[in-house]
Amino acid sequence: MFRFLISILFVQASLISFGQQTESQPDSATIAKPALKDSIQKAPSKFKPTGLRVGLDLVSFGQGVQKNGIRAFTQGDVRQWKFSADIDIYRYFLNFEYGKFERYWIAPASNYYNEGTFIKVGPDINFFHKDPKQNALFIGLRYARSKYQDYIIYDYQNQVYGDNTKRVSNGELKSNWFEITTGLKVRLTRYVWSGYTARFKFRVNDNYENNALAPHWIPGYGAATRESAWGLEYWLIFRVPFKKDKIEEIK
Amino acid sequence: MFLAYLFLVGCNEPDCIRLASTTMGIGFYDINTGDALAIRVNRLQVVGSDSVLMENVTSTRSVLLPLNPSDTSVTAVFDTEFGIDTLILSYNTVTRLISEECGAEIMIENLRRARNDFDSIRFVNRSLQITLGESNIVTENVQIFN
Repeated sequence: MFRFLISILFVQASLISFGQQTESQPDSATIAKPALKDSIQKAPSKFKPTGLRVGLDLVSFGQGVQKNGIRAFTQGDVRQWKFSADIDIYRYFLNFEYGKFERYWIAPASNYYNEGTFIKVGPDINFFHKDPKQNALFIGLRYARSKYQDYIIYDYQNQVYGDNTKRVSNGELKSNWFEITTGLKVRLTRYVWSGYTARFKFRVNDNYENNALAPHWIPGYGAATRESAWGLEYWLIFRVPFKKDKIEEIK
Repeated sequence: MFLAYLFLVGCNEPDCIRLASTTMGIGFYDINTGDALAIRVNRLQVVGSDSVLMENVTSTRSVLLPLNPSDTSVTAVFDTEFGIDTLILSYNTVTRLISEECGAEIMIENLRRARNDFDSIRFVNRSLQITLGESNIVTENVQIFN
């Protein structure tokens, strides 16, 4: 697990450093003027957030469209939306993620339905916090909670008691788990960014030992029978700057 | 984007292996020696069903008792060479979806005694299971001592 995360980090680091090589020379030369100007004025606190980023996950959006086409918007049997928000505090990001999940599984002689929401909060450490373009390569932690409900309707055949249809449901289930994250955030324009987050999910609790229905899915986590899971989001991100970016000042 | 595509198409579904059973295995044993005992069964019936599970069997060491997934207890009436005995057992049913390809599975767990007229009974496996093989064998759950 950790070898995979570390290898991802190395690939990311090499990509970003390669991408910055051509820009580093002019940046260092031209940054000198604003830096001098800033030193005369009051020095800004490095812990002051510079902007708010909000993102929409295109992977979960794509899964619904892949399965149901345009119906995913309205009446598909898979609907999942994930949103993220983060603010930067020096080299750290404080993240909040929210997701909504709804899906029907249509299986032989049975239909299963699961619906719920989840939140994830936690910090990231940005290894490129000095980048004037504010691109980010990060690792982080998340604490995640999910609240959901499910039901199953199934037919069974029994030679002694006869054939029957049964419905079993869980009213409200809660699960929590932890995640190790890593990823990239890349500036496309001043307001539009893209990026991805890869995550390893672990230590999920199961509070449904005596329930008549064992949940098949935990929204935000994945298959409920797995002790750990992987996840990937590809974000389309919009950034609201709190002040003028360095790169804008340079221009 | 390539990684995102892999995640879109790369999900594995579990194999359709079912070990859960709705049939309980009962074995007969000698109360003095603990050895398996072959007995004569005149009639075996469960309350709530018109079916007779076993009738006029001269010698058997075990019987299979189907449980109702829509119920939480079973009442079985044994008419054997030792007389008429009633066995009432309670249980929990747990349903789970294996996958979209495999469908649902009903698991019967926490088998426990509610009433027993036999000399003694012992639970050896409180969950109903089958053992996979050339012919799937119902695991023994309860031992009845006469």
